[in-house]
Amino acid sequence: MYRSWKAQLRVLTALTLREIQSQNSSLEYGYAWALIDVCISIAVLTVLKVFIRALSPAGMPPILFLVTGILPWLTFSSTATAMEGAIAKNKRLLLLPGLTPLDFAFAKALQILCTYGSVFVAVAVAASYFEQAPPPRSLIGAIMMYLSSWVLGIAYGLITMPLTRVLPPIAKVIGIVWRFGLLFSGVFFTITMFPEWTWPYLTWNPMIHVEELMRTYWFTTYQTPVGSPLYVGECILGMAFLGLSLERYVRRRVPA
Amino acid sequence: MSVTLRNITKHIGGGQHFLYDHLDLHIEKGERVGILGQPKSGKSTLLRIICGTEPVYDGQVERSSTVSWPIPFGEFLVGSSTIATNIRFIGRLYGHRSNDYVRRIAALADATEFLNEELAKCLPAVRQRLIFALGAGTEFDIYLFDENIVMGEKTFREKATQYVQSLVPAHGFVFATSNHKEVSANCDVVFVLDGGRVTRYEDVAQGVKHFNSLAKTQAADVAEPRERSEPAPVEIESVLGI
Repeated sequence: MYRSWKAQLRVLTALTLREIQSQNSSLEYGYAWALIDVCISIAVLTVLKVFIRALSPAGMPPILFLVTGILPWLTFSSTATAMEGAIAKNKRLLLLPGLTPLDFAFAKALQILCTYGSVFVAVAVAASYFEQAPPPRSLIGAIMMYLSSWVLGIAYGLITMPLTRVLPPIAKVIGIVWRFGLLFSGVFFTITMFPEWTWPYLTWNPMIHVEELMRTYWFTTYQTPVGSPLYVGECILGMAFLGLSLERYVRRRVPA
Repeated sequence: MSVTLRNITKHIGGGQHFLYDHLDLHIEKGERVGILGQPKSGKSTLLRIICGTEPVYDGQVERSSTVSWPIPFGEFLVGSSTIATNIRFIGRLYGHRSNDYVRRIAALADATEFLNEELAKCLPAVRQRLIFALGAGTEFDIYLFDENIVMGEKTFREKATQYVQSLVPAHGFVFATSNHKEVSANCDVVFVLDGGRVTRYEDVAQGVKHFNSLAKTQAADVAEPRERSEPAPVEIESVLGI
């Protein structure tokens, strides 16, 4: 048991490092571009946000508000969408003993965590300094929520991977859902900025819980009226179970 | 330390034909095994089943030893990375994290001087040698060779063949091919793949004899329908619709 876990860890480390090394490998300073890419996106959105000051909730510094919203969202969405692509990209490696399609998916997810995680830390520290914001109310809570966004992405990816393999057009539907997801996951707004009658519907989305709790753990001036860590945990477990069951069902019928 | 295949059944052509029909096979560590089969008889697939990269749904595979991938498989190499990075990737994957591993593989591939060169910029011969060295130089109990034990220049072939022979008895190898001369020269035991099953021969000469008789029968079977299917003379009137 210990040996197989050790071997699994070895495989994941090797694949994650390969993913990191291969990112923008054709360019000079390859991996740095991955970080710069995210920073530029945040800078553009921040400029937009500063211009539309009316949308910034009271008591929360606008740049930090955006950073604590967009980084968990980017981590979630990139993990969820990149897992299937990672399998397609590394299909040839399946001829090496000991590797499975899920290894590629998890390695890609780890690479995304490393990339966005470092960007999150760097940008949050810089924004806090620039806006003279106090440190997070609960650092552990904020870290837990950030990790939850990543694990939610894995769980979501585990469901969409086998589904798109069986029914490719479903990828189009998922693409449409993503566009709405960005608007209704609390990335740019807190739930208090939506009419109260919409809350029971919006709170079906686990990402809005993550974003709301992230702001609550970060800012002393904000207390979410809806965020539930238990609901996030239930969604992660339920989706991961469903995704792994689907993968097992599909594995023999439609190989990766 | 062995690999055992029991009752393996696999279909091809949408389930119309048997590739393997209740196939049984047992390989011990320390053996020099040949698998002789006609082209398209399923030798490569059998190697993939032995190393565990081809899923098996009907039958059982028991593996108590580590098995290499079928050499020369090199699709995992990244052209834009250096030779050292490519070696390190395989090293990390199979638990060889030291620089000694990188040096040893580079030496086996005669590529020490190109270690920091991008693989895509190296000569194809270097890539070929690296593929062999990564497969045969990484620690496994049983090594698999598909169609050729070594490819490349003559001097390297001699060095590499010697290296492969030196792996036994501490390790074993399986060599799947349709070239009976190579099997006679390199193997102690031979399996002949025929009709979706394998027959084991402790005497390689006897196995080769069986394989050759099968080859002759199959050649005759192929030739016969060709004779029969010679095109019938076509009357020009029917073609022109007169």
